[in-house]
Amino acid sequence: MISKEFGQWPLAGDTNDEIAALIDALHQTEQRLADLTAGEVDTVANRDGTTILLRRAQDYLRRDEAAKQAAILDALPAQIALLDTKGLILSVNEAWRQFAGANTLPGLGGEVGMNYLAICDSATGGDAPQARQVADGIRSVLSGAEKSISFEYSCHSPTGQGWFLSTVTPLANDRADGAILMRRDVTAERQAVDDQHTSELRFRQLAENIREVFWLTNTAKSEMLYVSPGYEKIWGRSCESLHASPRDWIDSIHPEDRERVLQAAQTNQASDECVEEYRIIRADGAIRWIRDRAFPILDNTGKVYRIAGLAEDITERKKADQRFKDLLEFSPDALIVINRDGEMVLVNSRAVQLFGWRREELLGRNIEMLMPAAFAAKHGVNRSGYYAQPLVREMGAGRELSGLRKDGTTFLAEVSLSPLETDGGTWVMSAIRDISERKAAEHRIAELNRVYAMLSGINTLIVHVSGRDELFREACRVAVEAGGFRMSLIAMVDPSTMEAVPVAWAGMDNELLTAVKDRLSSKEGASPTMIARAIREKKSVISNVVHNDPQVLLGPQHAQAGVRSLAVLPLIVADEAVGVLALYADEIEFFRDEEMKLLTELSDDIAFAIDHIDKQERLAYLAYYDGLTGLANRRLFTDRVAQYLHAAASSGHKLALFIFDLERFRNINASLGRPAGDALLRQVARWLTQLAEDADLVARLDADHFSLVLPKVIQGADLGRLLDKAMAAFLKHPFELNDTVYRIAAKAGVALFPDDGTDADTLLKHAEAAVIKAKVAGDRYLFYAQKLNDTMTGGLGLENQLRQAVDNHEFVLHYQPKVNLVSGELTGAEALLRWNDPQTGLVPPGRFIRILEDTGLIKEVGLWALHAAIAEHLRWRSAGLPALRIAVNVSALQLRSQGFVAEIAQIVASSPNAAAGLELEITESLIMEDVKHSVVTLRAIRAMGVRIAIDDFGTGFSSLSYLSKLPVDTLKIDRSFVIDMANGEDGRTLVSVIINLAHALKLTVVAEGVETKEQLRQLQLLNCDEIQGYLYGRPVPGEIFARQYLQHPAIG
Amino acid sequence: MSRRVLVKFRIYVADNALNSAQALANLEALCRAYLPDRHHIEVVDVFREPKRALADGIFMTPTLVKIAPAPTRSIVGSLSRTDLVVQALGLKS
Repeated sequence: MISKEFGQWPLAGDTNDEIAALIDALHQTEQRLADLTAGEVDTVANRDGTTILLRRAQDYLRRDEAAKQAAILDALPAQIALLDTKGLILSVNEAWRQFAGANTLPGLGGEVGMNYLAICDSATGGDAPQARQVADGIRSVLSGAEKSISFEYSCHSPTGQGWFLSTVTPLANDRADGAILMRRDVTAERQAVDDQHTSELRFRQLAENIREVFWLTNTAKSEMLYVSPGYEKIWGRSCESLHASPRDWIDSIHPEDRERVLQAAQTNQASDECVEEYRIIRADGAIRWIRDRAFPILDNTGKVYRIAGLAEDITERKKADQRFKDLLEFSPDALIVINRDGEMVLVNSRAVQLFGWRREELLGRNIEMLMPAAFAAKHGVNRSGYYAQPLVREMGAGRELSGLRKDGTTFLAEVSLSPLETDGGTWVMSAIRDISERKAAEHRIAELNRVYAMLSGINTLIVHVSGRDELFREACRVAVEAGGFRMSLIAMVDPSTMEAVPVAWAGMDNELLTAVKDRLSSKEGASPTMIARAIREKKSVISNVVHNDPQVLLGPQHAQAGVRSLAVLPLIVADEAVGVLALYADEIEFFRDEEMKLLTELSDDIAFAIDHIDKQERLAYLAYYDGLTGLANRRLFTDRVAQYLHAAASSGHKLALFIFDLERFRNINASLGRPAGDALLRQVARWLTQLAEDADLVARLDADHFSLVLPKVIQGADLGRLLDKAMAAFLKHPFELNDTVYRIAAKAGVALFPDDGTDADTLLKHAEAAVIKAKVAGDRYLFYAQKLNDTMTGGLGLENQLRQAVDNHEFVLHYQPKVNLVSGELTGAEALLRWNDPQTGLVPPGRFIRILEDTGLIKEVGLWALHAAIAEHLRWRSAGLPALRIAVNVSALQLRSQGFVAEIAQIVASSPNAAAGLELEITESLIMEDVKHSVVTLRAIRAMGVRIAIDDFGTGFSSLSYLSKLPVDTLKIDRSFVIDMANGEDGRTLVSVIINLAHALKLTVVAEGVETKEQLRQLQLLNCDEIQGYLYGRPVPGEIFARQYLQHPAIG
Repeated sequence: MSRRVLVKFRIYVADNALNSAQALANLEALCRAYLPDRHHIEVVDVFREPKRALADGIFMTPTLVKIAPAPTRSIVGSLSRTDLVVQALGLKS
């Protein structure tokens, strides 16, 4: 059906004729085809498949296209107008038509055929400027100056003020043959923008005033649109810095959290709300915890166009969280928090420690893994029950359960539960306490109580016990009965062999005891024993597991006896281990620190008791013996003498009792010291014991009085010769005191049975009387004869007479002159006390001075003598006689009395001349008894102008160093030295040394007892200063002295 | 032919050209009237698929082809005369 003529489509380049022909042919063909098909066909294809659209169909399609375009234009919401080059409106779409129809105002209307430019140009009122702007825009497009122009403007619309976006584009691109004006009402969009602006403003106001940081970024987060001032406070950085570099917030995140936060920000924030907690490092280096909640902000089309966030500082909360965690972590109880499913979500370190699992092995797993199967099976049900009523259940409410450790072992546990409300529902916190230790502790307390009971029992015992044996026996018994020990043993050190000897035991069978005894008594075997070690080291020795312990030598024997642990505690007295207390327990490891503390206390108590008993025994000893010398004391000696007397009476023989008194013992004590005195006493005791050949016959009665009894005096024995020999031997015996040898003299008194008394007390009293007599008389010893007895009775009467004499002023002073050896002048007088007894006449001083001293009357009489001497001196002075200084003797009692200095001061104050008239004579030995006190006293007296003389110099034990310190003026050489001068060169040398020494110390030397011319001559040769003695004058009453020496000086 | 047999048509059109649009509209009306719920119309636009028409030996549009049931029939034109079309397609038996 297709003809050949349709073969090729005419191509460019053919001649015009050909083209014309072809077109014509085509037109004809089309026409023919249309005719052929009666107009029913639209296209025809040639053989090549090229489809030819027939004219009619072409026309139709063209019209159809225009209609379609118009329809499309009409359907558009934008108002569109087609303008020609002059601005004439060619066509408008439906939207334009409708808008223009409704809008009566100029500038927005315009129908087809009207000039839109003219409309705009003629606009008046508020919209005129915009209208003219539109017109200008259209003109610039129409002129080709602008390709396209678009502007937004405000204008009145039918519903009020509206916003419009107008776009003007040329109708054709290449030539200006008109323009398309497209106008869109953007009022709603503008409104939305305004609304956004307003709401952002509101946000901002809100944001400025909240503590949290509000931030707003674009979706890419490349620009920080807003950040509230809270940022500066929390981050410690300025908001400006964040605006300047918005990625700063990333850098401020703690490196450990950064990756996580960025990840979350990328994935979540753009789509959904996203909450992250992270740390930041502030500019100042401080770390803060931040909770940041970010959420997208959508525009009204539902698209994300902003991301906002609210960041708050939760550091305090985190700290609180941490504190809570710490609280959990450091709780003494194991704490496990489980969720509703029983899974462990939190375990503290105590729980880890208690159960033996690592934390990561526990977390997320069911708590039933920590219970023995029996408990685990029931747990699910129990747990549901608990959730039904989640109350706090305290510990110790009888909920004792078992816990299962990783190693499979179980332990007794006490569990308390408390509900914990969390985001994930109710969780339960279980506090688990291992009470196996407590159970063990209860057991330990029971053990300790046993020890306490024992301690208490033994302490009671110590109070009542009277002897060592009882103490040891009872202590062992209490240890077994109250202390619950299987056995106990006390061994004491024998001081002679230094071996430990068991002295008491309890609960011990003979076999083991014998084994222990054997071991302790063997030379080599004893040393390594625990008992020997405890003694040697003075420390407790413990074996807490007896079997297989090498330090337990009798291990098998002990084990057989049921001993599992043992302790040996030393009993320490005065830092020496005097014994041990050994305790044997049934239990292994009984002797732990606490037990040992108590047991050490116990052993100390026993040691104290031992010491106490020792001391009691010692006290008892001291009651009968002299602690210093070990001799019998007076009490024991009296008993013994009584027994000997009994024997002597029954067998009819004599008994002799001797008392010895050491001479100058006080001086030795004072000058050499008390230890030397004690040493002397001990040596004397030894000497007497040797003499008696039996310690029982000797006693020390008091200070320096010893006694010796001769139980049987053989008929015809010469006691006198015996004593002579003994006393001579005594005098020759070298006593060693302070590394120097001393010769000591003694006096003795003897009383005989039955001649001098028939009982011990009487004999002792009479022997004492005899020794006193011997001392007074200067005899080596004296027997107590009846005659002597009478004298002593008289002596007792003498005391009473002397008391009367004081009251009756029967004492007088006699004065003996002192003369200067060079000038022969009278230099002074010594006042000497005499008793003018109205019955017997003048009594010599030897008879009463000692009694005055013994009775203390000497103080009174001595004071009287001072007053009397001063009165005499003043009398001489007032009588115009030479005012001699009078020397007055001072007794020990006077010198030591508190008020002595005051008494002298009072006497001196009685007259301005009193001091110059007085010299005090004090014996060397008296001064030396208490040098310090003497020096103080004498210095005070000397300061008053009274002179001081040392009397009897040479008889004491003065040392040079003391002498130089003494505040004295005069030194009086004892008469014995003056007498000795006649006996040889030695005597003279001694006096010479004394005189030279005194002169070196600038003392005046007075020689006493000068009786011969020879003595005088010697003393002159030795440069002695003054002499006193019968050679120049005996002591005479004051008036005679005045007459004889003062008024008519007889010496020349 | 059974009333239950599905009748398949293929109609070749030239875009929205007048005859083509009329043919399609007539065909649809015809099917509604005579072949309710048992027809299928495939529209082939020769401007879009020129090779297909050529392969099918279709040189003019609009052309309606009854593909099934056999025998196949072809009708060129706007299908304005319904009676002729029904007859030509053998829809009225």
